[in-house]
Amino acid sequence: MAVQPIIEVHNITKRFKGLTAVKDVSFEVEKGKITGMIGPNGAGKSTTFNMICGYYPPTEGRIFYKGEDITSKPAYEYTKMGIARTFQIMKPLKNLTVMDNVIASAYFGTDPAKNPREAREKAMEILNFTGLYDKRNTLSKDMGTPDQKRLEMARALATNPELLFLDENMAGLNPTETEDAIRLIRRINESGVTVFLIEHIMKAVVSLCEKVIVLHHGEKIAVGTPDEVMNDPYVMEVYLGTKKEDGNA
Amino acid sequence: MSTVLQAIANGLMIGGFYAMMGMGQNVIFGVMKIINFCHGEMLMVGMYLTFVLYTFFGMDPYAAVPFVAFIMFILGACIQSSLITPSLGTKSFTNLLFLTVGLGTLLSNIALVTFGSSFRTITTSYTGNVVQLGPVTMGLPKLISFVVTIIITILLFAFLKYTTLGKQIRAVSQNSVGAEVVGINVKGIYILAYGIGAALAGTAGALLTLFYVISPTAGSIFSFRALIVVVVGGLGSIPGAFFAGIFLGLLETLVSLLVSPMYKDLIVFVTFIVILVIRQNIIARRR
Amino acid sequence: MDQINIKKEVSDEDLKSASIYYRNIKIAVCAFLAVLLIIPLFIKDYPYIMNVFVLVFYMTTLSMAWNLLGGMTGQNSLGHAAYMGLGAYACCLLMTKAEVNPWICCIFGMIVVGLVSGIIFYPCFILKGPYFTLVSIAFGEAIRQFILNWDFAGNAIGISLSFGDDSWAEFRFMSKVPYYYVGLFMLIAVYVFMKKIDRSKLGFALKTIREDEDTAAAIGINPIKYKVIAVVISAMIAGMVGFFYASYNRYIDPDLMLQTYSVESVLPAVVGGASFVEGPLVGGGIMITISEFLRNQFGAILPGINLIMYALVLILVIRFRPSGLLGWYMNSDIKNKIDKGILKKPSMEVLEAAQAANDHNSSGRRV
Repeated sequence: MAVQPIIEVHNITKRFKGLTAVKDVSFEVEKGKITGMIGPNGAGKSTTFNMICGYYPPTEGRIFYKGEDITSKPAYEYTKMGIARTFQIMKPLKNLTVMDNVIASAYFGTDPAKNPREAREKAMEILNFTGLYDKRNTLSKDMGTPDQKRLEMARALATNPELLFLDENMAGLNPTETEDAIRLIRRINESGVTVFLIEHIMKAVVSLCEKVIVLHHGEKIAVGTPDEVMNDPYVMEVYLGTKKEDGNA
Repeated sequence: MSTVLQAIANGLMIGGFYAMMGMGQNVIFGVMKIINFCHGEMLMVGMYLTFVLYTFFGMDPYAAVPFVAFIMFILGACIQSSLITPSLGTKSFTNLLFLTVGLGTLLSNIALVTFGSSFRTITTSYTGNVVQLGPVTMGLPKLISFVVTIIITILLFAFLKYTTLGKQIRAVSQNSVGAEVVGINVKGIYILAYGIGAALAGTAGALLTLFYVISPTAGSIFSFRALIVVVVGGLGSIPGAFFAGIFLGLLETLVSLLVSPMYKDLIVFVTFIVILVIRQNIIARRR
Repeated sequence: MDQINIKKEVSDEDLKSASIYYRNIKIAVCAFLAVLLIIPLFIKDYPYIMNVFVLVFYMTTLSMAWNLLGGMTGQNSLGHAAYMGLGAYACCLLMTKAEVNPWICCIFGMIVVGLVSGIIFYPCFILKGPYFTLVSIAFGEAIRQFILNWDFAGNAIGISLSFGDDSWAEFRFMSKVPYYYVGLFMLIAVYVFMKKIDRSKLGFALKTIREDEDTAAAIGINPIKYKVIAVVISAMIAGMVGFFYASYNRYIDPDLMLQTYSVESVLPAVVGGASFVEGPLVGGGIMITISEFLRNQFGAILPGINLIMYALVLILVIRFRPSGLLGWYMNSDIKNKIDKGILKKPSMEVLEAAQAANDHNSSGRRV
């Protein structure tokens, strides 16, 4: 492919004490596209994610961002390089308003606000983009799951990322809310942000991703377009076969 | 040589009290993940209770121990159910911390207003008796108190290990949500744990009265020692608290003997900070 | 990013009502300040009342210093009396042993406290949760024990500063009036500084750390770096309060660093509302005044009665108003009535629109 990869993962392995959570996984994320990672519960998706985002270092292997080795960079240096993430278990700043949540992020990242006015303007823009504008003065702990998930994305976007990691951003949403979320992610991608997401909801993955990576028991078992992956006999066996109820969600 | 042995014996003895305080803290920390900053003041309340029982009812301090433990248990249970449990709901660590700090200030100043700031002591017929153990001379009350602290420690271990309530306390310590799911009354366990913590502190206070001055600020020395014990021994670990308590007692008496009594506190605090930081850095690296 | 449909058009009426509201707030603040400024004219012959005011000023300042760390960053320090004491000692030693000008000593004291706290707490910030509180207690006690055993610093006897003619250069006065004004100035300056921090990058970083350190890291905040910044600023302000305390009382001793005083420095913030910059002001004004009154009235017969009151108020506020008096006021009808009736506060939307228009104008001017 002609597109240059923005993230290259080379043979990463993670062991917790005796347990090997992720084993020898390699893949690439292409710039400007939406790449997805799927797999049954406990397949090592979140662990892989956390390693790429600097939350814990891999036991073995290296990770490159635009050709630069970022394997041992601490998590807080990522937004400066243009990488932002969301959390599977939402971590809003509970006692701050939605607006303040986003303002906090606007002060950091690749194009940080230099004064309160800039931060406010940037936050307004992001809130508007993510459809949270009307709720800007609510305390984030008082919002429901869908809005908190949106807030996670808004906060990540406020750092002006080139690459956005979304960790199960649609889990716990109903079909309408999922539709909204899919539309939002597509808009984010269209604005030039590369997206890498973990998702359980197959419909979302199929409609969004151009490339899908399948993990099982910590190992990469397939990679390709959603169609290719869905029709891979091994994937059907280990993933859809054992997890049919998830597969048709 | 014999002075060193004497210091070791004294260190073991005082360490027994630190261990008892630390174990009480750890029972509380284990189930609620909060630090009880009024633990020393509870010890002080135990001292005054013993003093009152001795002065007004003529009760021997050792005979008073069960009564003191019982009263302290009730007091602890009341504090837990009326103040701490409701505040746990706000999930504000700042508030919980200053709630217990406030309780400590309240208790010590109530003692100050009630009994005045003068030092009180209890003198019984056997206060002056000493026991000769090889090269070591030990006051009889100190020896009895030490034996009692050891017995209580063993009882506490047995309680946590073999009884249903003890197992429930351990279950809540490990995972309070899981414990609730399997039908343990978590709020009840909180009350029980805080009551036990208070009773242990009160008992330590009662056991100290025969050779320690009773004053409204008597608890503050033990309060921070208990925290050191808890941190060095591992937050929530009961055996850890026991050994850390003994270690701290030994460190104190040996530093007094070998360096200077003046630097005792300074060295204890600095050692504490160093141990804490080094250990946490190791844990953080290992992750 | 498209889709910008924020209301840019603001009617003149909205702008006017917003400016009336801001004007009303300004009038209220100015009136309050004016009252504080002229109070000494009436009470300067009552040293006791003057003393209460000065006490409120410096204790509230200390509480604001605590609040930067405790309320804003979520790191509950119980060592602020020690920072204050350390600052006071650093100043006084330089003043008495080297006879340096007090104002230079003040800066020296602040630098010493800032450096010591930064160096000690830097390795400690890898610890999360209750550990920081424990280290802060141990740190405070260690400093106190160190001073107690240090002959040069006068051991338990402490240090006395010289008395003499009134002089601004020496920051030494017989009357309490100059201390009143300096204390008030210090309070206001620290408040304005805190208010600035609250809306700045630093403030948001600290608040993010308070809420969740993982989130903080995810948006690019280095938790350790910002926590050290917070502890250094907080300790430096406490050191400055120490200088003021020493100059005012002309005497310091190691008891200044007792744990009880650390607790006393926290109470105004927690009672007033630790999540508000104004919390310590409210709490300090109320608590320290009452406490001094009680101590004066009953101190001789019932020592400790003021601390009982302190503790009771603290416990009751935490139990029934967990967000503090200010948090309670913010959600009460009284505030609504005052806002609507006296200050003529327009709706949130109008205020925001006015602010946006203002932003627009100022950015336009700059270009």
